[in-house]
Amino acid sequence: MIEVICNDRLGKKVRVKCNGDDTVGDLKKLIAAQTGTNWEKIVLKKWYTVYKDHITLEDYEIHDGMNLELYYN
Amino acid sequence: MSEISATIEQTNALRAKLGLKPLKEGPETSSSQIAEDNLRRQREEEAQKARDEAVKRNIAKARNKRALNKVVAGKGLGEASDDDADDVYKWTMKSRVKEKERQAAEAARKEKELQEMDDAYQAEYGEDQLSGLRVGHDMSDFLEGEERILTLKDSTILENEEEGDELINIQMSEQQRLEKNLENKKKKNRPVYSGFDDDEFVLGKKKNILSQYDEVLGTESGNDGFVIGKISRPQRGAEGISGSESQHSGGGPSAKEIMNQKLKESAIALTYNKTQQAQDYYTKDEAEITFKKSKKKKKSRSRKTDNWEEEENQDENAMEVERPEPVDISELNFVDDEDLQASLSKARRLATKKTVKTLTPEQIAKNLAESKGMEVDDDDIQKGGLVISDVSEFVSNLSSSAVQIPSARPAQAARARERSAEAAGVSTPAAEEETKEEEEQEGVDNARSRTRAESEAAEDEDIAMKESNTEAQSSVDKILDDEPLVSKGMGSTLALLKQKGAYDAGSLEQAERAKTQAERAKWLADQKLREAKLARELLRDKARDKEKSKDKNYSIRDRERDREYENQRREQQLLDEREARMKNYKPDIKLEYFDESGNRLDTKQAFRQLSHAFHGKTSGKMKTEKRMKKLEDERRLMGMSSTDTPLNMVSAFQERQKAAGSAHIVLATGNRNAVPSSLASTTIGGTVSTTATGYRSGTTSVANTTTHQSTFAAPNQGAQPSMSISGVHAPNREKVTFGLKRKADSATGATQDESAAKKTRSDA
Repeated sequence: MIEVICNDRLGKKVRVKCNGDDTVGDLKKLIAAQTGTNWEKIVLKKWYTVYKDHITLEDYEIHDGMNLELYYN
Repeated sequence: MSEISATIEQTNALRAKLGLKPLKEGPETSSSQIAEDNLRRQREEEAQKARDEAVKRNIAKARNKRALNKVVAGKGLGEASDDDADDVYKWTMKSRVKEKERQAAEAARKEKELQEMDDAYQAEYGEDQLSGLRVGHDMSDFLEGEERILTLKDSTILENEEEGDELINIQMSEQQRLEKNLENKKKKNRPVYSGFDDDEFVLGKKKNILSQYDEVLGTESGNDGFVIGKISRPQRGAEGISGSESQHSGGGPSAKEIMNQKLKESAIALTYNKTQQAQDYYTKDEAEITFKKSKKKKKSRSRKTDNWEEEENQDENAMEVERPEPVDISELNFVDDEDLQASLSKARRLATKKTVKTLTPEQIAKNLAESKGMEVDDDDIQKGGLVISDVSEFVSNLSSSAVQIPSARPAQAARARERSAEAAGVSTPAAEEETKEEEEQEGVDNARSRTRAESEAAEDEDIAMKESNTEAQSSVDKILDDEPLVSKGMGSTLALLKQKGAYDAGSLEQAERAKTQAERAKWLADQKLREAKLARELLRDKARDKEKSKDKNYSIRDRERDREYENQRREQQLLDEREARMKNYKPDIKLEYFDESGNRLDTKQAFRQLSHAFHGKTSGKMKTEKRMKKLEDERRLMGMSSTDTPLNMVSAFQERQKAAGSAHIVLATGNRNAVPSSLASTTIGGTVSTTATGYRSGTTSVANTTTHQSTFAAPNQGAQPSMSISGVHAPNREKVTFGLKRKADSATGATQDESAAKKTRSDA
């Protein structure tokens, strides 16, 4: 289990518990459930890299306690 | 802003809703971590392995080191010398011992081998196998109890085929050969040819031609040996032939034993020092082996010389008939030129005989008479003329340098005397003869130079004589001097001239020069004389040499020596003479320089000329002109008349006197204080000279005129002070200041005066 912190810098900061082998889409669903938004509107970014939904967190080398940028489209 | 978070249960519930597997509990273990672990383990294993290797290597190294140390242990080359082997002696001994041991071991081994071999041979080689072999020596050569080693004789194959094997002892055969050689030598020393023809009768048989060479060296004749197998038979036979010994041996074994005993008693130990083996290093004792010097036999040659002396003694004692000495043929070898020696001794004998014979009393008397006659001759010589005899020559040779110089001088003096006599017109025939003789004597001389020298010398002498004469006379009567008469001769004429002052004898320097010149001339003449004499001597010596060389007993070596000596002596003499001659050699040299126009230059000018020539430049135009002017002035001064002023005043005065017909000249007349106009043109105004005698020089005349003027013009000139020029009239000027009113009437006189003064100055 890892904990990932996502911040949209507009007033929402979510701490999400997840597994390493979860995909980015799964993470988005968990965030959406916690914040009450549509998971399809969520974009996860780290600098200019936009994480794609079908790739696991492990493959993106997202570890425990990392901060991700949370955007909406 | 609060963080939105969910617990694990909430999250799990959520995940379940979403269709995801629940969260995994515990920390994450990734494959990379496993890989890291693996790597770490691997590295650890490798490290362990390396450590083991190092330990192993160290152990091996230590083991190697120990082994090496074991090899090196002991003494090194450098250390070895510090220890017991520091001495060469010790080292040598040690090496010797080692060598000995080694040799001993080797010898033992070899001996053992040989022993084995011998044993092996002995087993199969017995006495019986020697039977039938011939021995090359007589049975009697072998002594009882003696051990001889016999070897097979060297022979060619053909000989061997013919004669079969033969045994000989090398030492014995060598000795036989030596004996034979000695015998042959003895024979050879004996003269082969005795000179007698009776060999046939003495020896009983006729000899072959050159029979002494019939027996060839090394051929053994009559060498009858024996055969080993048949020992008993020849031995018996030999004993039977040889007389007394055979009887003894035949007598019984007891006698033989006695003989053996005797022989053993007188036996000589044949042990000898075994030959020392050559060693590289010797101990001190061994090294002290000295070598004997072989004694050389001296050949004695003294006997022959003794013989000579004897011969001579005999000759001197009794001059008997010569008989030939018995000549020893053996001694003939020592003196190679017997004939020469004999002839020499003969010559000596003859010489001694002669001297003895000539000194008879009559001869002595004759000699005395001769010598007396020579003395008389000497007297004659003293009386008149010079005679050259052997004695005089000998004396001159003895100390030529000492004798020649004084001898030359008197001769010259005599010549001078004679010349002076001639000049005086009183020439004596005797003197003439003398001179002739002298001339003859110096036949080789250069006549011209001599005569000149003579004449010069004569003149000198003359002058000196006259001077001394006049001086003597003047001391007697100085007041009334007799005039020398011209008719008396050249000398008196000269003296007269000198007395009158017409002829100047010359300054001291000139006299000196004349003297040196005369000396030089004399010196030259002397040299000529000497050279002639030397030439004469040389000729005479050569003649003597020739004479000597004709003598048979005068050997070449003697001649060489004499000639050398003569040459040396002559050279020395020459050198001495030259030195003596050059002692007061004073050449007459005077350097004078002239310029291109022939003027004599003094030192400074000469230097300038030289310098200009050297530097290739001359003085500038101005300087040259100045110099030319100076020269011109000088010439004018020289050409000036000594009796007149440069402007010929005296002659002018004289002319005036002639014209006036009076013995005086009036320069100023009466109160008018002026010279009459008719006179003014010729006379120099203001100056008066009443004296008839001429002035010697211009300067004196000027001085005179000024004084005259001052005395003469003083009273009148006071009127014109401004016009007066000469500073001599200072008192007049004061007068002038008081009497100005008389200026007008004396104006004409003043002008006249002034012009006169001007003229005088210009003259000055």
